[in-house]
Amino acid sequence: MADGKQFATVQWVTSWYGAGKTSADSRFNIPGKIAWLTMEAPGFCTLLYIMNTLPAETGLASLPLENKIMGSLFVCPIPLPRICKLIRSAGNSLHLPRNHVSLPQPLHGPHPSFRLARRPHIPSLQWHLHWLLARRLRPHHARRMAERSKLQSWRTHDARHYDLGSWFGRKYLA
Amino acid sequence: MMLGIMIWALGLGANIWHDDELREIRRAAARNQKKQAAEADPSTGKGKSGGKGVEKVYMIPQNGFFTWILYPHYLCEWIEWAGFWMVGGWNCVPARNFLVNEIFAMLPRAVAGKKWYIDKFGKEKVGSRKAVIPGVL
Repeated sequence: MADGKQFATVQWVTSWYGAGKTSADSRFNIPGKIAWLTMEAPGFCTLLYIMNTLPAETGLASLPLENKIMGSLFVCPIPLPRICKLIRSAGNSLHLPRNHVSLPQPLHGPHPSFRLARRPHIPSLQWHLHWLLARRLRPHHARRMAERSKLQSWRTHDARHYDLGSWFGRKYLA
Repeated sequence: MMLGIMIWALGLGANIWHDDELREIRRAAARNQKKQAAEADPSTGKGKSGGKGVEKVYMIPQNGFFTWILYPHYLCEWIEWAGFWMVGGWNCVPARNFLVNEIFAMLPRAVAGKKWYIDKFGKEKVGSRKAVIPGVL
């Protein structure tokens, strides 16, 4: 147990924790993002260094695929949130207000069959999952939403649909 | 191994999503401040609260797992690294240590964080939410 567990366990007996919401005002404070990256850096830097030098040291032509997969699993969570944010901000370039997307309410936007008649529309994977879940879990609600979407004008739907704020879904052709 | 990768990806995705829910609090607060500043009466300066900053804006998020716990991003991170351990195999000591270290470091933080939420918002607002494990702790 020669690692950080003993230090971490101190948290049970003291309320002091010099970061985030319990940080104190100090000129030695480091901005959160920089501090976080500094904290993460030794881990992934060491791993990448070892993975780059190990094959030569052990005389392997290259590391096994499994090691490479695990290495990438370890490293890629660090830039991923930032990449997600970039994708989303690109999708939100229309500057329509982003609704708070909530997981348990998978019903936003009209049914695609309705939309296809009006203008080219590519329902995203997330969109399909939402409807699939909705029809399974809340069939009455789903039907009502579909009915309602047929009554409203397509202009309303545009805003509603962008409100979905999908991370990975491409929502419109044009 | 595939199952492990799937659990890892699920944990990571949920982690990012819940983290983003937290960030959205301050993004929304910044938007509101901007709006208020724009709508403020320039002659009297009434309603002007721009420049207050959103550094210390706190709210209890409501969506996703935040319905049941205050630290779902911690839980999802544990799920993520449990998946990673699974990929490495149950005998993989570094992966196991990583998860154990995370739990040792983050569990007391979450429990202390729940106390912080109760002090800040009151027992009623926090309600039946647990710190990090739904229904348990």
